[in-house]
Amino acid sequence: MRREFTAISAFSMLIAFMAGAVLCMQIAHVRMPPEWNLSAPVLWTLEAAIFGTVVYAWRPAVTIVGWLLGIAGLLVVRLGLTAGAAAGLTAMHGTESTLLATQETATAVPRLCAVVFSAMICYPLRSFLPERPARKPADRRRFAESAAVKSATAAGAADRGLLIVTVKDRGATAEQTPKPRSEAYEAPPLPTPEVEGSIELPLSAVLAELPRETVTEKVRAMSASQTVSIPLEAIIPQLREARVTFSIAQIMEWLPSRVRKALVQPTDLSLDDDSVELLLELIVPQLPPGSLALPSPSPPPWADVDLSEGVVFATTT
Amino acid sequence: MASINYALKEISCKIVYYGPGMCGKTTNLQYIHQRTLADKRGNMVSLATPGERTLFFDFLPLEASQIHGFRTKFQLYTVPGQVMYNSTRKLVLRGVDGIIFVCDSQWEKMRENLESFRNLIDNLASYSYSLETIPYVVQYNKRDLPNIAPVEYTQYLINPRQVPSFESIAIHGDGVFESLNAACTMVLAHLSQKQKAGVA
Repeated sequence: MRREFTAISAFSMLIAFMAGAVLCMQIAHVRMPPEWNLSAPVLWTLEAAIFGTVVYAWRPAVTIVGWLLGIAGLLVVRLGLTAGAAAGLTAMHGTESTLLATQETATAVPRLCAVVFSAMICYPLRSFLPERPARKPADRRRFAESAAVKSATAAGAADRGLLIVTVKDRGATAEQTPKPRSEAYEAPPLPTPEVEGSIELPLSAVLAELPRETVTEKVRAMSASQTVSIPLEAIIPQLREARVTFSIAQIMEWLPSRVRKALVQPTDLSLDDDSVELLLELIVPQLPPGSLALPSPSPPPWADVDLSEGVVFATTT
Repeated sequence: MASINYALKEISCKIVYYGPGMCGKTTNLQYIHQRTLADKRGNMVSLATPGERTLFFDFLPLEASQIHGFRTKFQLYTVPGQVMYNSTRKLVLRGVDGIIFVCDSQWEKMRENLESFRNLIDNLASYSYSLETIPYVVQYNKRDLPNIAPVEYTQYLINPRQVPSFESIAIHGDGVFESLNAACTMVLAHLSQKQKAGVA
């Protein structure tokens, strides 16, 4: 049962039903001018339109089936109300007036009164109406899509202790991108030094990143002492992302021709779409001086303090 | 945000240790807890998995020396570094006064450091906070491990503004109090600046 539907809801529905029936009984005695009487088809259409609008207002994302079910449910409750009012009138005026009572409660005003009360009675049940599944947000977080997320999620899934918490914190993965409301922090643009030249990576290290099926024993044998020359201009712009990746096609271009010819290309491998990541620890130590130059320090105002005369915590030796 | 109780002559500030998973945030707090005098600190609350991963956050209340006659109290928090606990990280950042961003110096963690730092910026922005206005220091942790990136490269990634940064080996306590003292000093100085400007 849905959380929204409680015993209090059921009780309030019962009270509303009784109040609605009594009000219909009272209104049934009111004699309206003849020109106010609407024909039966008009009344049914009006009721259906009101119920349709009410269901849509309650659940804008309701499915078509849910919408029709909602209208049908409201109609049933409305009929129940007028029938209850007719039964009440019959009980007060004797059994011979059953037909009369039914006719009286089927006129426009008692019916519209019953329509309003039907909506009140059924309101707590709105959460049972089926809804269309929500669309995935188009703008997904770069952070949540990253490989680190996948690996950490996989690691978390393997940890029994964490699985329990995943349930408690399930909102974390489905969160939408936070909407910055203030001027966001912007790191100063890093200069891109115009560095010419290339760095030499061990061929074995590059081959280790290629799909295993492409590298034959013959290639491995010839990779022992060879290196691959990779131009710095292709590397430096990627360093600020802490990841240096190239498409396999690009790596192939830099490989010695003898090695390139000896590689095997599996049918399911796309040279342009599949990429390999080269190890930072092989690249960064070889960078020429100035490659990681930062702009001149621009610490925010709060950083302009003398740290030598600061807070002291009483510590043990 | 920081609270100042003039009647009790007390200042209370919130410092958050932020960083990727397993970078040493809890280790920092554990070392501080071990090394501070018992009457100057409260109990450390730590909710962790059997694998020593922070589940919700760690909390350590700490009292520092008196400044201008005011007792200064710091509440130290860590966040769970694992990427899936972003809502918890965001919650812990609410009302933060200062941040110690802990980097894992190992090569293979460089990308995670960067993503965590960007996540910090995003989460702060969701509260209309910004690193422009919240004092922070950067701690390059695990400097004793063999497979570490040079500080220059980590600085290039995480700290292009060149705010105060510290190399550390949190498990031995190296750089732990230096980072904390710097962050706390900047927080108090910033608070004082805001008081003077009539903002706080």
